[in-house]
Amino acid sequence: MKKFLSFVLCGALAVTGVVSLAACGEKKPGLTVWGPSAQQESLTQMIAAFKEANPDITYDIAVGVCAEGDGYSMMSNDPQSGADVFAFANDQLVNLYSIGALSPLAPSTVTALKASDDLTAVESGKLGDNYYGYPYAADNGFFLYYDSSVVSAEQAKTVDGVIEACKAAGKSFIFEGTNSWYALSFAYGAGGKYTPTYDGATLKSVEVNFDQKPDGGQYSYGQLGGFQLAEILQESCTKVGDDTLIDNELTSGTFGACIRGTWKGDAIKNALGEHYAATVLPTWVGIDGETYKWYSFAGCKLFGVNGYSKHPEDAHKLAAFLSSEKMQDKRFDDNAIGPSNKKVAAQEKVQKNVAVSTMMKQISTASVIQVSMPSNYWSEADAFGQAMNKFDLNDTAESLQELVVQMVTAMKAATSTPAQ
Amino acid sequence: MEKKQKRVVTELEYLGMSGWEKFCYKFISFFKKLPTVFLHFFTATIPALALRFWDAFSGIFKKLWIAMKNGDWKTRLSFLVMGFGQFTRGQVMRGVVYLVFEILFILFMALFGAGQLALFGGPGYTETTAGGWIVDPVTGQEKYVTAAVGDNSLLVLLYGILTMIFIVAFVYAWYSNVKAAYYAQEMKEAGQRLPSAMDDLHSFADTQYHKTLLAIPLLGLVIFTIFPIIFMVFVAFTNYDMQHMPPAHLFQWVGLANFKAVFGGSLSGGTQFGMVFGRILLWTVIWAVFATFTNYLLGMVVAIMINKKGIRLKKLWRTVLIMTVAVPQFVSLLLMSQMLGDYGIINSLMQNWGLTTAPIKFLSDGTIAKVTIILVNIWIGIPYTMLMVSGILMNIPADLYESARIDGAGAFRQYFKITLPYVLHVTTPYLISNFVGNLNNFGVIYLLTGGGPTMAIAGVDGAGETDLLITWLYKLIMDKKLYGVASVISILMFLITGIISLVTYNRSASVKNEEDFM
Repeated sequence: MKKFLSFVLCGALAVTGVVSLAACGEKKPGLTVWGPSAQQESLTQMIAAFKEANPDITYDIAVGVCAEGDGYSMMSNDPQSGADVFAFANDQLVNLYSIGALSPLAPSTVTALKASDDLTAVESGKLGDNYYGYPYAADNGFFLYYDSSVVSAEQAKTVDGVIEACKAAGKSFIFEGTNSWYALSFAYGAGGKYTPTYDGATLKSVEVNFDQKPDGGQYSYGQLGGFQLAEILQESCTKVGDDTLIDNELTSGTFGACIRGTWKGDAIKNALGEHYAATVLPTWVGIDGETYKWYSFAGCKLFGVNGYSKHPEDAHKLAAFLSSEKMQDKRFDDNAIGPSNKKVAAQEKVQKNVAVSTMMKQISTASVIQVSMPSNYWSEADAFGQAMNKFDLNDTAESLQELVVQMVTAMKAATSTPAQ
Repeated sequence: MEKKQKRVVTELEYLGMSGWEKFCYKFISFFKKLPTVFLHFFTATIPALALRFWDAFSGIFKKLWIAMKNGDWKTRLSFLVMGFGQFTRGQVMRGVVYLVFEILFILFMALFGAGQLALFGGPGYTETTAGGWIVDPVTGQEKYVTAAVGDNSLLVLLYGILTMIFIVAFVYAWYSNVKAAYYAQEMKEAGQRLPSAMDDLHSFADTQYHKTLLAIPLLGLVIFTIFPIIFMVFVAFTNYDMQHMPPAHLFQWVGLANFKAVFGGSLSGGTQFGMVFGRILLWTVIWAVFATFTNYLLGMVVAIMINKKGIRLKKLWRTVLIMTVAVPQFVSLLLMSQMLGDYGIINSLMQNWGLTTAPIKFLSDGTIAKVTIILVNIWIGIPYTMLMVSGILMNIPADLYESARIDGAGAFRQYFKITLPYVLHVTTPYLISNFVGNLNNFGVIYLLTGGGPTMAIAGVDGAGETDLLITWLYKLIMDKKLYGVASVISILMFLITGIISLVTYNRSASVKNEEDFM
């Protein structure tokens, strides 16, 4: 049906194209842009600005809704009829590339971007020798929000301090540790690594060391991180839940602290008022007695140009415009999106935004870049998180290591047979 | 030595047995009969079916041969030029329709169909080349080269199947054309008048009216049900997945690889499909059995209680139970899933009242979640059974119970000898459709737990503890985009539900003793 519809639409498009060509012979590229629903209004304004900046060409630009996290699922329906320019989170890079939905950036553009934007953000769009995205936000990760009347700034520096404070005040600590995005954050902090290597869109190999021990250590990275996760999940003040739970706790006045990203900043700020505070993830003490950092994922958001776009050069021009310094500045003003442009990030108003500046600090001090993971990374991390939620803390370290080895074996199996 | 005689239990002897003996007798005779049943199936049922098939198949060629042998030149030329026989015997419209169809078919095959069939399967695909920037050697400026879109294996598969369907339709039309030509010749020879074009048209409002009426529904059925099923069966033999999304990457035939994966092997990506399939199938069957029979039995108990003489406020009780039906099911389910959440209202209340210290994981612990789902399903399912059984109960003639009482039957005996057989007889088809419906009960699972919590085992790729086959299938298609494996599972589900419904329905008392309660 959709194919049929697209045929009809293409037919209609062709007819209008021919008619308009015959009518005036003027260049009138039709483009579609997809952006997240919260930014629709500012996106429309940005497009108006783009048209203004290019008065010699009459652009016909349509706007659609697509959250950055849905870039792949939206485009994969039919990349040929997808948007010309669309927003996506950098962890979808390989999947989008594999369906031909991304068009590479011109070498000169890449050079310019490397100078103006955060290098990590630019590199997050790199696959093979090419770059496939115009970064516009570097704010995807998580850190600690807390109520400063419950947790002191000193207590917020350690996991034990935060838990102790929440317990003492009878408040809750909200952490969605069973979710794959958070489940291995302690293991990364202990020194664990997960590196997928791609050749084009084909996964070549996965290097993963959660089952291994650091030099001279007694426990593996997975054991250290897994035990800490099990411990924190099973604390009496810990509640496992998502944004809805945070809202509930804020309304019922039992919010003590939570681990979440910038998107929740405004809601928490509004509820806590002057007691609103945020800081980088606290440190924790492993079963071996050592102190470790708690790592966040670091993700970026980019504008991609559809590889099947009918007007690729215009689409590239638009994507570059939408991710330019001016537009990132506007995006911060409108929606408090953490910029990837170095000049915008250095501004005072950005530094003053607690959530955005904490996120930037977290990314620069304790984070792993969230590259494109094969889908089984997420399901394995999810299963591990669930297992830790149920793990008996009195059980032996060996039984924990068994779970870690199972996870690692499954993660490595992502390439054990080559993609058919 | 005495010759061992086959002991035959007479009906009288059987009736004289105690309950335990009757059970043993039935149990033993069931297993005694098994070999005979199997033998009968392989020696009689299958050969009979094969024979019938062969008769029908060879009948086609017999008719063609007779038309060839006894036909005149007009009939014989119809073998090549469709509609010729009709055309030369005055049935111009029929002749034109056949001829146009033949010409259309030849044009279609020559211009389009043959090419699609040649590509079908993939070795001759043209791959898509991605676009990119080049530096113009003259001006030194960067220029974008647009992507060259090659073949699309999805469309090739689609058109290939359409072409095959068209070929089958053509062969059928050709056969009926020969048959009709020979028939017309026979009619002429017997001196009968052939139906004219007007007669043919009129017959669609008269003797062939059923065809006119059924044309549109049948077309809908073919386009929206049969064609997608055929398509799905073909996809089961391909590697259509995330890594092979046309037009950028084309999928190919992989033979039985997907079937092997589901039956215990694994595919690239390391997911243990066999293990997951086994676990989910087991839970699906457990769920279907519990969901069907708990609802059925408890609904019947409630109906009997309300229907009992001497119970007051019957209407009130019925209304209260029907209220749950008045609220749309998905609304109740969504509310339930919120209420039963780890920090939902039920857990908060229980903790506030001091009944529990930690939240009970109603929906986030695999085993508890399974029990919760069955319980919630009972809550939303009972009213339906109650409503239906109430109606049947009111229909059972009261004199049956009266005579039973006079003969000294107690409440239980009355229930098992009168009520249950009566209700069961009427509701067996409902039970079967309910069971099959529960095997595929997407709504309850998806809205309550979404299939979660994820199995805490490595290598399950996101499959959940409470996932039914149907919700797992949804995940495989929507999240994992493993279309090949998903097609295999759909085929298996189709077989499972199809066989269960057919066998149980045909063996049910409702079909066997159709006239018992008439």
